[in-house]
Amino acid sequence: MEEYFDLYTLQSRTRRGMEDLYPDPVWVKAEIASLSVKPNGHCYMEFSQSEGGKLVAKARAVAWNSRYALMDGYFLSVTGSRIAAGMEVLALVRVTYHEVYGLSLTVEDVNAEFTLGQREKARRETLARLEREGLTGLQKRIPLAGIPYNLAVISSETAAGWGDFRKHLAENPGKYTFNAVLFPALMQGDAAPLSIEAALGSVAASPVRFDAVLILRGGGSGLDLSCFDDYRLASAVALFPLPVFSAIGHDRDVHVLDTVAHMSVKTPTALADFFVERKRMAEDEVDDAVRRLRNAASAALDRAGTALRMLELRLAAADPRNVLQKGYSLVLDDSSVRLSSVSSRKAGDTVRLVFPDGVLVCTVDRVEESPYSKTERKDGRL
Amino acid sequence: MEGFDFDGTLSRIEEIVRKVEDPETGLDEIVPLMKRAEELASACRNYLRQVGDAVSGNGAEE
Repeated sequence: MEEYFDLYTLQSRTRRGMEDLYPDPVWVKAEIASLSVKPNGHCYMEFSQSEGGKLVAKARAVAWNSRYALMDGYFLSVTGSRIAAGMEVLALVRVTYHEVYGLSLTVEDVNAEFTLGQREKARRETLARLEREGLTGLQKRIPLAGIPYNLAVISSETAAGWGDFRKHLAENPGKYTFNAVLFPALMQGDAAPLSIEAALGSVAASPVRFDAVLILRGGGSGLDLSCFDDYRLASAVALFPLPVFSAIGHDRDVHVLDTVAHMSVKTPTALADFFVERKRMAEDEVDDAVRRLRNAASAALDRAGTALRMLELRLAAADPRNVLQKGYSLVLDDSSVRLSSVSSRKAGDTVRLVFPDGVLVCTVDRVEESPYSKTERKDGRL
Repeated sequence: MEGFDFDGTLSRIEEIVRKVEDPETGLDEIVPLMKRAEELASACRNYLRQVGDAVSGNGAEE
């Protein structure tokens, strides 16, 4: 009969071997394939590793409640998200082997900076890919309507950002109006990119001709925003035929979505201000034109007034009464025809000398013609 | 106000302004031009505050 171990002996020897091989905790890089936090606070995970899309390693892991609460809190403060399935992590694990339960990894720590770095690396790779595919500049080439009115808003119905945006838009001091229509979508988590993409599809299919699409969130800055670095979402936005604005409400990072969007602002209220400002500027143009119109009309009236005054002056200058006031008198014959020459008069004729205050009726004694009356002087004067 | 051409209307006002600014334009022409321009400006302002759909709504339910 061949030599054999009973199962317990085999498992005990394996455990001791494991303990000899890994007497201290070791850092291991793996993906969290699944994660479940039990009511008692213990966190059960499954670590995995794939290569070329094929699973090459898998192990159970557990973080006991006392460690898990600390690790998760720190991880959240550094990365902005909680430890979750789908993440690649660098975990400090104690390798344990139990005769009944087999291999298990007890997680002592998770390196948040590693995950952050991995995420940043992935973000840069996505940006580089979008750049290579010529998708990063497409949105910026789409012209925005001069005065946007119909705004398609993609956000969560309960998001603080949507509420802030709506309130800010409705209470603008200029009382400008907008038609902002909500297309609800998930704004965080793994399902968010697909949900936002579906909302974009609804906008495109809507009978309303929208001037712009606004992707809003805001509030809950500690939540996971990595969905806004998703390649598929970014390319869907880049290829969308309407200008897409992003206001993710997070001032710490610039997301891939922000980079491909037509325009990106920090908060939904800042975006509301942008659209209100567009209308205010349009109204300024109208006010300016009306001001110029009134000035031009006023100038035209002034010109007409000046021309009128000039005519009055010329009339006044030509009025014989004004000449009389200066000491001259007007000579009329007895038929009140103005006389400008002595030639038609003879002694005994009656002439009338008109003064400002009356008329002298005179009889001509004699006529004396001027020696200059027949010939013009060389200097042209009479 | 659907289909209102804001930019075109603003251009029309600008045209009137230039005509009123022209010293050759007579006073009798200016009065109706002013009236027309004020009407157009009023239409522009109304357009900016047009009473359309309420702010909110739900696109997915349309």
